Amino acid sequence: MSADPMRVVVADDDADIRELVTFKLMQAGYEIDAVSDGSQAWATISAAPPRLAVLDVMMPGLSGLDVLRKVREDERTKSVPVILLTARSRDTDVDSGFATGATDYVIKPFSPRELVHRVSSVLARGA
Amino acid sequence: MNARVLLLLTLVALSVGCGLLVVATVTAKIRRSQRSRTLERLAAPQRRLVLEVASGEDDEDAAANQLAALPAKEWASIRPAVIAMLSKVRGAPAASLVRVIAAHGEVEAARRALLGRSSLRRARGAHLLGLVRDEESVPTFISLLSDPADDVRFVAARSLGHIGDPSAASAVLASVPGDGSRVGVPAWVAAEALLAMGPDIESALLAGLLYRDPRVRDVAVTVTAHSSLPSTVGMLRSRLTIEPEDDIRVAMIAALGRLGDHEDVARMVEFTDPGEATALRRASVRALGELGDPAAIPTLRELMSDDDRALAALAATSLTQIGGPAFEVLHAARAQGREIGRIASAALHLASLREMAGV
Repeated sequence: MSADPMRVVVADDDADIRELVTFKLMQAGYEIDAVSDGSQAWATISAAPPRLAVLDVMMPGLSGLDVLRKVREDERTKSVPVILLTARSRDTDVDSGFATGATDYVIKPFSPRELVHRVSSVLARGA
Repeated sequence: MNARVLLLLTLVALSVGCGLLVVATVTAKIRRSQRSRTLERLAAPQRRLVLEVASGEDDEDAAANQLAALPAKEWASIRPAVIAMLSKVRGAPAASLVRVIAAHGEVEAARRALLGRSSLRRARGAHLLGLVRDEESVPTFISLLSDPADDVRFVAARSLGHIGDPSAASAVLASVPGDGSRVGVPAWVAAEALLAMGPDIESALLAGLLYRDPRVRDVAVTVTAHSSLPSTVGMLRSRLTIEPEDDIRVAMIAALGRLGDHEDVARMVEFTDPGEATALRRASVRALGELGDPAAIPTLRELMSDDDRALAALAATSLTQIGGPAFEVLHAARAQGREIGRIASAALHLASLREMAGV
């Protein structure tokens, strides 16, 4: 697996959040592939594994957790760090995310600056 | 004029009417589309400013100042984007967006709207003030929980949740039953608002568990189950034995399954008695699994042979949740064959699938 050095996949069905996360991460120097649902997310990740993926938990079709499960099951993508964006702060969502193999999570409404910190620290840990 | 001519005239009139309707519909669609394009055109140059503010990239407040100084027409075009973004970010970017909204007089106008005659304006005002987390409006929101208009009451409850002021918790709980002429605030709206208020709502929840109206008790139990507040566990235990509504007892049992400990095993075991309602028995078996205490193993082993096959399957699943020595019980049951063996086998298989999936 040879991922582009700074390529991040962003998947969220909310256009505002997708645009905002893309804008913020691009400002921080990342190259972004932004998609609007879980199927596109999995297609994009499996076609060319990125350095990291930011997945919304609640998406139409494949949810963020479904995509995460596929990422972890596939030899080519299983080491891709995944940060979950979740609209719900309940313990169960966070627990399910970690149990499925999430690297970290961010709760919406979120601080874009905090998201960038999480992305950079996850990548730094994996470097 | 004979009947044939009359019929012909009627058909012509209907055709003309239909034609006019089609023209009117197409015209309206074209106008709407043109208006939408105009708004998009006006908003496009400002969109980047909104992203800069919302993403926290506006270190010198330059973008926020530009948005705050926009003329009314341009503000109207970008306003929906600013409001939409406000609900999605927190921290300094959210505060900057609120400053932009306030600079256009929207907060003051919304506060005035809360006192207006139009229920639509009151609801819209409450919605905006909730999004900007206007703490000054909390007393007004509390009084709006008794507003004659349903929408206004619901929006007021949601906005109190957005603001997160725990002093409003009792009022939100009290708004759930409504009164003779008004429907109450929906239970899920009240529960969501209360969950957003943090741990300082403990005393309101304790009072809610004692409320006369079962809908309030139900909301209080639901919120308690998801809040992990230690003192409410004692209240749940004491109320469980005297709560008259089965639905609420089921919710209490589920909550104790999440929050309870070894002390609750005997209590749950009592509710698995065949004389209890089916829903209570099944909830108790689930709760025993959630508690994960080996003291429940003998009861669950016995329940795998219960006449209620769904309950027997739940008992086997709960044994897998307890793990350790409970697996030995399941393997022994599987070796017995017959119905109990099938149930144990299914539970073990499901447990292995869950383990493979990492859930």
